[in-house]
This record gives sequence, structure tokens and C-alpha cells, in this order.
Amino acid sequence: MATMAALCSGLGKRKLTRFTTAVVCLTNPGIHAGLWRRSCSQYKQVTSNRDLPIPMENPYKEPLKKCIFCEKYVDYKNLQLLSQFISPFTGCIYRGHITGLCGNNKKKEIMKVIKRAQILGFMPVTYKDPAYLKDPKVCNIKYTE
Amino acid sequence: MVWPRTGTSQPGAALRSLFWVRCSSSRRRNPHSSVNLPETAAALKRTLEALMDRGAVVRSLESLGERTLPYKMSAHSQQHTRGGYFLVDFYAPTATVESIMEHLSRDIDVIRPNVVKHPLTQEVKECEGIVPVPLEEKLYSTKKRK
Repeated sequence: MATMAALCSGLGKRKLTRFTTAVVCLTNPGIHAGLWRRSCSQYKQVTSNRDLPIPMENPYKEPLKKCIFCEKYVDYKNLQLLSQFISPFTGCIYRGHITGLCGNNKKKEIMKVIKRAQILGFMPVTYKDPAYLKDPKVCNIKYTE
Repeated sequence: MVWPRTGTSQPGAALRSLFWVRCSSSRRRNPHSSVNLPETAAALKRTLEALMDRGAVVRSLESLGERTLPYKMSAHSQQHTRGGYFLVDFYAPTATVESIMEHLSRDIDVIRPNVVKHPLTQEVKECEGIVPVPLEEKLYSTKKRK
């Protein structure tokens, strides 16, 4: 009994109760075998799947966030819009982690459109047009002032 | 400068269906002068006639105004600071684009000739949205390390 008790404490509290029932059964050989089988029925696995969750797609899934220019055409003549994506100090085009546009397509498209406007002579290259300096911020950039 | 490039010129190019080409060019203007000068009108007339000679069907001619150029441009051994912007919508076969560009580059009044594909011909791609990128996978490289 002492050894059994030690074993029980070693196993832990949860298994203690089940093990004690088994221990009781074993130490009293006089009990009918049917009792032993009944107590061991606690170990039976649940076969019915009625209560388990049904595997399916998340019904509360939100539609993917769309960027500013999703499914829209950006004109190279739209200087005010394009100058929102360049730095006012150096005139360099902002990258994807600043603009927050979707995928590689839109980022490259905006870069190409800005480049086209600069080469065609619509937009200045090394600075931002001073008329558009007070535009609302679209990009995720913070200027140290 | 032709932007974007219209592709290789094939022998059957003239037989291909016409496609829209949008020509945009900035022109020189004398400083402190208005748009409605007979010189500009003559220059525009010249270019349109040249376009039509090469088999282009001109749809419309728009003026985008006159302003100081964003940077000093030098063309035909002259520096320009002010210019007028004009946009010509026209249909043209693919093969004539090069000859049009050649002609425009020879014209002194034209500072920067350009031929650009019409934006309405390009289909707008379907965009699903910002797909979330799993950054955890990119944190550690999956290369085999000996």
C-alpha cells in the first residue's frame, strides 16, 4: 500500500482518482471482475463526433484591405497626387513600406508613373513642387522637424 | 522618347490593326508671351499635318497650359525654362511611331516629343487587396547550414 501511495503521489492529482479506483480494485481481489471492468470504462474513448467542431472556413473573415489605388488607373499628368509619394526634401520616390500600397504591381506601377512624369517634363525630379507641399499626408512617414 | 516601347517592327506591322497612341510634347515659347501666338498655331499645324501624312487619324488636340518647366531643358542647342504642354490623341499604326518621333525631334519648336500608349486601351487589373505577408517565415532562413 505504501508503494502504491507513493506511485499515486508521483503520478499527480488528476490521475490520482482514477488510479486509486484501480488500486482499490487490485488490493481487494474479492470484488467481482465486473466492477473492475466498470471502473475501467472511464478510459473508453469518445467515438461520436456530434459535439466536435465542424472544420470549415472562418465565417467571420473580413475582406482583404484594399490600398488607395486598387483597381484604379493613375494618370501621369496628375502631379498633385504623384507628388504625395515623393520626399519634399530630396524628391526620391517612397518605397512600399512607406506608401502602403498592395503587392508588387501597384508599387512598381506608381514608380513607373512617377518616373514617366519626371522624364516627360511634368514633375520636378530633385524636389517637390512647392505648391503641393501642404498636401495631406498619404504615406506612412514622419518628418523630424 | 517613346514610352513605352512599341515593340519590334515586323514586316506585317502595317497590316496590323491600328491602335491608339497618345502624343504629348512640350513646346518652347518666348518668355512673357501668351499661348495665342500665331507661331504656336503654326507649329501645331505643322505637327498635325505631319501626323496625318504618316497615316494617323487625329482625334483631338488638348492644351495643358503654359508654365515654367520643372527643370531647365536643353534642346536644339538652346536652354528652355518656360514651355507649353500639348496633348494629341490619335490613332496610328505601330510602324509609323518611329517616323513620327524622328520628325518631331527635328522640329525646333518642340522641346520634348513623346508618344505614349492611350490609357483607356490598357485593362485595369483586378486587385484582391493587401495580402498579409507571413513575416515569421522570413525571420529565419531555410538554407541548409553545414
